[in-house]
Amino acid sequence: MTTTDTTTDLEDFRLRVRDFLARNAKRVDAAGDEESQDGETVDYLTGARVWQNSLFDAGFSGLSWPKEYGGQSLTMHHQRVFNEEANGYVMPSSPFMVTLGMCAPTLLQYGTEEQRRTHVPKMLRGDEIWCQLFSEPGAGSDVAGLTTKAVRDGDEWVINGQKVWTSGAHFADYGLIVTRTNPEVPKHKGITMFIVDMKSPGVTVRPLRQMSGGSGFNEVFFDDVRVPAANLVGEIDNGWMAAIGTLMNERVSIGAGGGGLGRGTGTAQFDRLAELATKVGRIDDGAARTELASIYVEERLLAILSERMRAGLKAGKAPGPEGSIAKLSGSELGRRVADMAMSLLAESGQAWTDGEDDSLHWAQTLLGSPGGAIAGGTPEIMRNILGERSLGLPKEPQVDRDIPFKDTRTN
Amino acid sequence: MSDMSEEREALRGAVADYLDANFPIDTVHRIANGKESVAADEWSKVAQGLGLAGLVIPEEFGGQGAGFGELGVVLQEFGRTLAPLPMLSSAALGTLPFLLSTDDAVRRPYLEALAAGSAPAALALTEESDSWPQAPQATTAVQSGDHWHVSGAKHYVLDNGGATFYVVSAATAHGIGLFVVDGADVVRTELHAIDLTRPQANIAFDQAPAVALVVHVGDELTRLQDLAAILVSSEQLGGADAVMRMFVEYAKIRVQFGRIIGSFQAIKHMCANTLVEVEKARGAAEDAADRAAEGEPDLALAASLAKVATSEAYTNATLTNIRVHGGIGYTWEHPAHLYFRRSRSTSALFGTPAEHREALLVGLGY
Ligand SMILES: Cc1cc2nc3c(=O)[nH]c(=O)nc-3n(C[C@H](O)[C@H](O)[C@H](O)COP(=O)(O)OP(=O)(O)OC[C@H]3O[C@@H](n4cnc5c(N)ncnc54)[C@H](O)[C@@H]3O)c2cc1C
Repeated sequence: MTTTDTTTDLEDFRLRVRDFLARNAKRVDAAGDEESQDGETVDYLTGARVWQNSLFDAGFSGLSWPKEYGGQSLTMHHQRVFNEEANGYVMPSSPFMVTLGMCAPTLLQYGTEEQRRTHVPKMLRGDEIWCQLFSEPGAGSDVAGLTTKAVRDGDEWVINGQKVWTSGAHFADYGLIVTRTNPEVPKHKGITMFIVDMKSPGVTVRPLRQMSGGSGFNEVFFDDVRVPAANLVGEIDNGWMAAIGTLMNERVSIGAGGGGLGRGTGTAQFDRLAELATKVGRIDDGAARTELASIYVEERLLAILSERMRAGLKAGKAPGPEGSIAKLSGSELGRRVADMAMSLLAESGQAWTDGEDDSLHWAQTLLGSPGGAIAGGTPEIMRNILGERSLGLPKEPQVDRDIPFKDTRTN
Repeated sequence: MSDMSEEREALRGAVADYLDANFPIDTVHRIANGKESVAADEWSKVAQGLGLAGLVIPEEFGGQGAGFGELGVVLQEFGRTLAPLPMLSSAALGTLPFLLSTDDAVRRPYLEALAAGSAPAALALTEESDSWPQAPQATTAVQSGDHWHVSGAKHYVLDNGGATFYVVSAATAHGIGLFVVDGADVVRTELHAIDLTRPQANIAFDQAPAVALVVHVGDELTRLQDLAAILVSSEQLGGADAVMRMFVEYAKIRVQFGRIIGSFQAIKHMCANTLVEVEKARGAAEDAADRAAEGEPDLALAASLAKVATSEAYTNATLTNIRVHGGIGYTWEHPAHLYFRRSRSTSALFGTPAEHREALLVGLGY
């Protein structure tokens, strides 16, 4: 196949995708609910890996990513065609969101050639799952306030400290970790990023339970964990750049479904809500119609924005602060969808008997929605980024930007 | 401060002391997780000690003879602490129908048992697909000789895990009545509830022997529901106020970017917006409770106003609580979700905000 996206080429491609999906993927309705990201059971994980393997082996993983790193070097038009065809199919891609949406792009941009060749193809194939080891108990919105230490010892670095809220650490093979390597300089200037093998001695993963009941995130402790110097990503003490890269990718990823995951382009949430409104006899109710229509509009706007954002990504650009628009819009949409479902279900949204699957589904949606708003940066942080970086407004007063990290105020 | 409000504050203080000592939020959380349970005699102890079980029951039946204003204050405290006792379910909602009844011979034994805390009741009005206000559609009561039997089902009953008796609304040949059914004569199905701190059940009964409490309830059924909505609003107000305090406290201690997060205008404004909503809701809920206390004949507008205001203030405040806490607020261990869940549950019960908005317009003649 050539990389020129002539009409025939795209049509051929569409037929190949259609055929592949028909033979390998499950329809959304036949499979019931697409599992939430909460917890991720062993069965789900195994199934997801098998799916990602088959996607890769058939040449549909990393469509717009470079061939030398396992991708297909195709265009965003191909990605779009894939997404269109994937509508209505279950895409068990959530275990790979951090891997492909955040970690792989960071390696492509800041990693060594060796790191890219070793890991990216395995990431695309679902053989390696990665996690993002950024947040700490004292450093969430302010990741640059992190205190996990890395100290050089010959050809190795020794890491000590604690990370928290690490999604998927309980099943991840590797993690991207940011560490403090120089506390004598201002906080953004003494941070270094490494690849850490999650099976290394001294790594302890403890699951944390979310308010929705599942255990999708963890606390991760590092006790004298040794990492080869070759695992350095970017430059020593200049890891903040790479970290910003990961975070910007994360916002696109959470808000817009990036990373070549084949996210659908449809209006899945609207569809399901409209179905619910019909079922409960409220589809002719004026107030319900207005809200439903607004949700359709928001979901489509986000889909279009996402499409354009992903197209921008392909052009080799690192995502800009605009990822925050998607992140912000996505969490607001999530809240509205959950609220509307609760309003439609009335009493039956807050209690149910066995078998009342709508109630269960929407209760889970409701209980997951606050997490979606916080993960990857809170709405307040997104607004600060848009105001300061996209619009150039004066920065919030920063009390600790220019003083040595060791002199800053922490919790 | 007037005598009345001084008395209310004294009552609030006594109830708060008891609840804080016995049901701190960690204990409530452990109970919700099934790791601890409430002592079987706790409610009757509370009945004897603080007199809460019979707070609004007239003294001649062993109660305290207090009014809805006092009840509202106590419910705020229960809303604040989420204490898993049948204060709302029995001492408030379950007691209401017995206050409506004027037949002392029938109601006396129930009221005395309620006041003693020995036999909690539950109010069961809701059926499968109700709007607001609710009228029985499928539950019927049939009289044969001196005896009544009821058949049907009620949903989303707050019964604290199983009531000694249930008051159900049922259609008779002549209208709608309120009937008392023994807990032993219903089939109870515990529901999976979003609210982990308060059990809910569906109950079904077939030809269950029943005592006619009010044979023709007429317009009083609406009043009963308005009172129920007002009482739920009081409880919601207490919860909204509690979560606001929780996140304001946190906003004063959490440091990010070298600053206390409450010094960021975004956070400060979230806190202030909540204060605005909570104070307006407080006005509406306390006004409605006062109107009920004064025996105002038509409570519909006040009830709907209160229920809309407290439901929305509470659901918004619980989400803000999680958001101000960040990741920690999204965990199971943190109490934020217990309130988030309670707010969602009470918002849907006894009329959703959407249903009460509609009721308001209808009540205003539109
Ligand atoms: C479901 C979930 C999954 C996650 N997965 C991961 C993961 O895989 N890896 C990882 O590293 N992290 C992960 N996180 C962590 C997430 O990135 C942080 O929770 C988030 O950045 C907020 O940090 P925090 O929890 O410390 O809250 P804080 O930063 O303490 O924020 C508390 C409040 O203060 C506000 N605030 C802070 N600074 C400002 C400011 N400058 N201006 C205005 N308001 C401000 C916040 O908006 C928030 O309302 C996850 C979180 C969740 C909920």
